[in-house]
Amino acid sequence: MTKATYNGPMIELNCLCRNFGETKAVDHVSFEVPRGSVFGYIGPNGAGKTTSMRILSTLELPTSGEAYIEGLSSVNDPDRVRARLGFMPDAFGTYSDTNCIEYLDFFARSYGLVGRERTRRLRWVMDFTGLRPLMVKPIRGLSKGMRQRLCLGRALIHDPPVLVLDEPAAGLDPRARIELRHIIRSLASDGKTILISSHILTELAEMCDRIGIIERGQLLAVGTVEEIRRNLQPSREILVRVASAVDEAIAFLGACVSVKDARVIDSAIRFSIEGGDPEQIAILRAMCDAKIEVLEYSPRDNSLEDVFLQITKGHVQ
Amino acid sequence: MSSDVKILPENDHPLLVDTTGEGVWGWIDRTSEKISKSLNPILIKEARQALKSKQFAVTFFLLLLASWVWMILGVVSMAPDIYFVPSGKYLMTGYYFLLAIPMMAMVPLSAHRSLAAELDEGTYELLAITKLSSLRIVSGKLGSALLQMLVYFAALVPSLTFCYLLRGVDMPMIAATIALVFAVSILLSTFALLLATAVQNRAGQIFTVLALLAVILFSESLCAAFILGVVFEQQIYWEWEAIVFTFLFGLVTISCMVMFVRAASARIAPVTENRSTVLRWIMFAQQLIWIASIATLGLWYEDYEPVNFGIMILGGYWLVMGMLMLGESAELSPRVLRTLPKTKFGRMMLLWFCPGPGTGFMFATTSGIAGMFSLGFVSLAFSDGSNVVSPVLFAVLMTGYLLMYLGATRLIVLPLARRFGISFVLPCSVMLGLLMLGIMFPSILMVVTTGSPSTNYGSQEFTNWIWTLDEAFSYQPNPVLSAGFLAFTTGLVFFVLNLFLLIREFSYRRVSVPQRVIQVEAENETSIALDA
Repeated sequence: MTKATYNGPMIELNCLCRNFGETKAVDHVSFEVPRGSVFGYIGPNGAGKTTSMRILSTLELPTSGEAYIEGLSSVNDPDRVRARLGFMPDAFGTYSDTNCIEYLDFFARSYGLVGRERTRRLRWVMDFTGLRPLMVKPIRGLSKGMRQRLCLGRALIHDPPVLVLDEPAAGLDPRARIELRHIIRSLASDGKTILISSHILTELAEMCDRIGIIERGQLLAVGTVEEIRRNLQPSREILVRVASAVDEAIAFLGACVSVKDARVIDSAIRFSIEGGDPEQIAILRAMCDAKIEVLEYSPRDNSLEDVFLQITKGHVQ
Repeated sequence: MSSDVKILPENDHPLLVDTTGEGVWGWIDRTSEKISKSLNPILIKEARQALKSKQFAVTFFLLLLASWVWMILGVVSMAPDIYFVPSGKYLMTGYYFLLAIPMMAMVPLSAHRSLAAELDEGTYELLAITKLSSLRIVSGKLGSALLQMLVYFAALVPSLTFCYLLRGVDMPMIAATIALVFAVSILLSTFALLLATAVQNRAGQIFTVLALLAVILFSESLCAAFILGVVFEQQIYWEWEAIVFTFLFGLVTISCMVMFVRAASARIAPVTENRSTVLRWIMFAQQLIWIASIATLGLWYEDYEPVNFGIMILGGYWLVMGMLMLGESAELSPRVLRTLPKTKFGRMMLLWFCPGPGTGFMFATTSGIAGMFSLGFVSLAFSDGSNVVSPVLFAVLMTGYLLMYLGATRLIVLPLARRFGISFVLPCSVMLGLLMLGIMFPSILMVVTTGSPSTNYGSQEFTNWIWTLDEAFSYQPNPVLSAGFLAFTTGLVFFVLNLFLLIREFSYRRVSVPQRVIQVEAENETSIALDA
């Protein structure tokens, strides 16, 4: 597989729609993911995440619209797309009477890997996923975490440039989740493009370069967490702790044009400020100039969970 | 999981070791690797699984045990005559049944379960996104079934040799038994694979297993009757007649195997793929083989009856195939549109082979008419002398039924498909309803007009295909003649009505290959050239 000449987005959804009868599982969803970045796909259950991921992975057909992997249509060139894609579904079956190494060897052969290339990839995947000590263990006897590793290993076996991971952290213990976060960042730094869906929003915020929030099939917001937060929150809330003279500080802030709603909560001052970083810096500088002894000055940003709750309405379909 | 990959020693599992060893073992290792490159991965996986499975182990050892028990019982019960009288045939009868049960029952059932489980348990989707095509998946399953057959057969080889040494059976007898058991077993396995793809849910799979069991029982009894009555009774003759017919009907069997495998792979292939063209070519080839077989039979015996039988089977075949083709989607994916014929001549000759219900209707009707009349015209080369309905008239009758029932089904399915969506269930249900209605309609009409159903066959019974065919095979040419022309005229009306609704599918044009695909192909070619 050559990686050379294509410079466009590695993943592209263009007005993608998928209807199941009257239900619009995916409704005109469009976004792009550039090479080497991690895109988090967030939404409640039944929002349309899995359906759009399955369309990308050539397992479903869209009602209308297009899905591209490395510029190739997953509808019209599925075989070429499959060679470039590693898909990890949220639920997957395994074979009886098969152990980990045989399972991975089978998929390596199925992806057309032969000879040294196959043994090299098998060794790499075994070590990368930490499955080597368990390689002769039957799959049915593996824990949930180990099965997830095995499935990730299967998705990586042919070294695809794009990974689509549907709820890879579901059911994992905290340590396994942290390890998964590290591995995803490591894969992204190796140039792999990753589309990942999860319900654990704090983790997504840490590992994703950009996110998309989807509900009832519609993409409600796309961008970096910061961009989405800023769009939702034109004014920023600031928390200030001063050494003394709280009333003087309140009076000072009340006189500032860009400051709104200054109040004291638990001996700390909170106020809203319109604008971005320059306005925030200007207020701090003005307070210092006015000889107000500032102990702490920090913006109180909404977490990804707050953003998610603000954007979605909790509708199900 | 860690991104800091720690490379452990390589010699901890054979699958992680490169085949670079020296000496004889190294050579064996490298040769095995070379051979395994060309093997189907499904076959390798299934062989690994089967060798570990309890079901296989239990069946294999039970087979061995049963063959020993039968040998001991046979020897003891036939002693002391066994020393003087040729008694291999009696033991061989038991060994046939011992071999037939695992080969003709266990192997097809396990092939069915294997593919059905892939579809049912979610492992097929993981396979579908690899480089394996649906055909390779199905043929891998068939390969695994063949491997199991060989292992079971190997368990009984010493027993067959023992039978030969006891005399009473000769080599052609043993070879014919083995060949027949293998052929039926492969045919049943391919049919089992097709049934496994017919329904993709557990409730439906219970019905398919029941259907498969019924077919297995039927085939086992038919095969047993043939082997006990023909093979073991030394009824195999080295005559041209036997050789030619064995060859022709062997070809029919092989074409059925190919058709089942291709149909199973088409059932599980993505809908964007062209799932029809290959199947249509196979149908075309099957028709040619059938015509050759029946024409040879008719000319050899100078008899109209086998020719009429051949025409009837051909009419039924195209009715069923046409009905299934009506379940295809008229929407062609750009991937399929890229492969449409380029030239006008190509469009004229090959468009019938492209997917779609309209092209399918035309393909089934035109092929059916051509095939049936070809057989009909073959009969002009000889005179039967009996009072049997002439094959040409029979071809007219069957053509009428094909056009009438298939044309009416299409006219009804077209609006219904818009409401309920397209699938092969809809045309099957409509066709079944029409065939039933065709039987009942004349009787209902007679009851309404005269107060009682007709007891004598007349041309008004032409829609009642069962009665008409019964009359045709009962040496009653005259009423069948008028019924045949009535059926043909009605069929022609339905055919013409359908022609007006076909225009859309014939206006499809080939589309160009996307630039990105051309670019990728060029990159692949460059990398292959660099590797070379």
